[in-house]
Amino acid sequence: MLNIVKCEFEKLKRYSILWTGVVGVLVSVVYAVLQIQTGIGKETEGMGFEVFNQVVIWNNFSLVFPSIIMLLGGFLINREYTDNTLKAVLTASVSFRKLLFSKLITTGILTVLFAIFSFLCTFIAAVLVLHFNDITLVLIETSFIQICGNAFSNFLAVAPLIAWFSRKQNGFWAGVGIAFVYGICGTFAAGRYLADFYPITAGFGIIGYGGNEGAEVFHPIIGCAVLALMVVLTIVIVFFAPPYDEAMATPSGRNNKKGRLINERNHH
Amino acid sequence: MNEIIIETNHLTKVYGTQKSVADLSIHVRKGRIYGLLGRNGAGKTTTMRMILNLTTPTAGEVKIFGEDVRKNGKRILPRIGSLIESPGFYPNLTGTENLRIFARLRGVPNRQAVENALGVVGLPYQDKKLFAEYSMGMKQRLAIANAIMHDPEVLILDEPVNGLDPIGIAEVRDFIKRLSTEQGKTVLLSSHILSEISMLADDIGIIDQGVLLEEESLAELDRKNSRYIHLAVSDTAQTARLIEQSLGTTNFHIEDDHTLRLYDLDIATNALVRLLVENGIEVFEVHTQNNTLEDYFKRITGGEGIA
Repeated sequence: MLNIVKCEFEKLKRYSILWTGVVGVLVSVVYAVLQIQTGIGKETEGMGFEVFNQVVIWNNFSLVFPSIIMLLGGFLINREYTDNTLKAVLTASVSFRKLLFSKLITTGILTVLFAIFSFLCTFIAAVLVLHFNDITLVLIETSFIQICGNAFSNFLAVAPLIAWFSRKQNGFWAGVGIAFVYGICGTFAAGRYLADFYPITAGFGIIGYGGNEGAEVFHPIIGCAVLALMVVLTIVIVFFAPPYDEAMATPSGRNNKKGRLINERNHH
Repeated sequence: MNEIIIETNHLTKVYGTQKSVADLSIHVRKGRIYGLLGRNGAGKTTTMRMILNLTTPTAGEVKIFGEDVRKNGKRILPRIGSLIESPGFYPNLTGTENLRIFARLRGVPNRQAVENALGVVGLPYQDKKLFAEYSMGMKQRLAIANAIMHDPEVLILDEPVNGLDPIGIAEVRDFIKRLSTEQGKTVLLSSHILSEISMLADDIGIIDQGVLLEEESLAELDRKNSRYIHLAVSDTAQTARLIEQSLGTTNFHIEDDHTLRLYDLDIATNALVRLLVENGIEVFEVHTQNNTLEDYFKRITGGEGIA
């Protein structure tokens, strides 16, 4: 498995898809800076690094990470279809299931790397742009753990979507749209004391997130259970991955007669 | 050398209502080159995909090294090198980088394997050119390099000379031949080009509309089909009836209203002519003619489509 994951990183060489993650992370931090500077509709006084960190996390889960994670994971898998490399991988005695798990692990690692980048951007913006003077080592450590922990729990929440929408060629684009809405809905779930139960925000209790309002109490055990359920769901979906020729069938081929005929002809 | 390495038993694949492969049983012997010959769409690629466990058969089974490929694919596939349909590689990587990935996936221990494989197909090692910039011929060579890199016992090559220039075709042909004769590799290759198959294969399977029409050694096919009696007569239908009833053979083919080919060379020409004349059939021409393999393939597949 480690070998396959290493290969996944080699395959990313010269691909610009990673820049979408970089841009997404920057957008989240820049938006948080603007929110802080405009006082998020409230008084700016008393806002420090801790609040800024929470705003960044809020933006990360609601706007950026779910769709970016889905885009990356979906792309990693989909390119095996579009580059016509899946057959070569399968005949190299790597099963489709093993390949999907490796892609998911790679996506998880990339998510954490983007989270580290998000933390660095948050720290730099706090020091150089917002000039906070309340930054302590404890706050830095908390920020690092919370940003990375939130991103990883977002990954676990999105993993079933990646697994599901990557069962077919080009299916992941629909998944990206759904993941974006999935993230946005997290803001409503959190605002209605449902954060523990909603997969995107289920990690709040685990990472000790204070919430946007700072008034909610999150339950790490419920959050853990929900995320564990997501892991189980992902494993089940991957376990029932379709066979090669079914996975390679294009959506047009399934939905209309002409496409179906083209697929059948290609099978010969 | 009669050990069967690849064997399909009543292999069938149905897509919707269309039978792509029907009841196909082929036998590839150790150290031999088996050519699967058929026109485009005959079912060659589907057969190879089922052999490589990429497609689930509707019925039948595939045995490689005596084991069921569906049950023991993990153990069997590392011993096989393959090229199926168009070459598939990562366009953002160079040829060397692509092969390194597949070497790692296969767990190839030899660090020189990539360089050696590229050398064999005449591609440069550590070249900066990306796969996306490769010509069709270069892509095909890279795919062959990928198929041989791990020194497999069996090679399964689907239309291996597709996209190659004439020199490339000759090189690949020689290379495949050497793999078989010098290293004892078993090769299953498909083609719609008769000349390629006849120059390379030891054994031939002719497939048409998913059905295996004939499986024979090339030598045997040559022996069986190189000669026939050419007859130009006034009425081929009546001639055919007479040959069937009086001489007891159906091994003939009516070309048109006035010409007929008789493949049963045991029949004496003088007796044949006498029989026809006595029954009122005018005989304009009789001679024994050498047939080409191409004629034979066209006859049994029922027409065009094989280059």
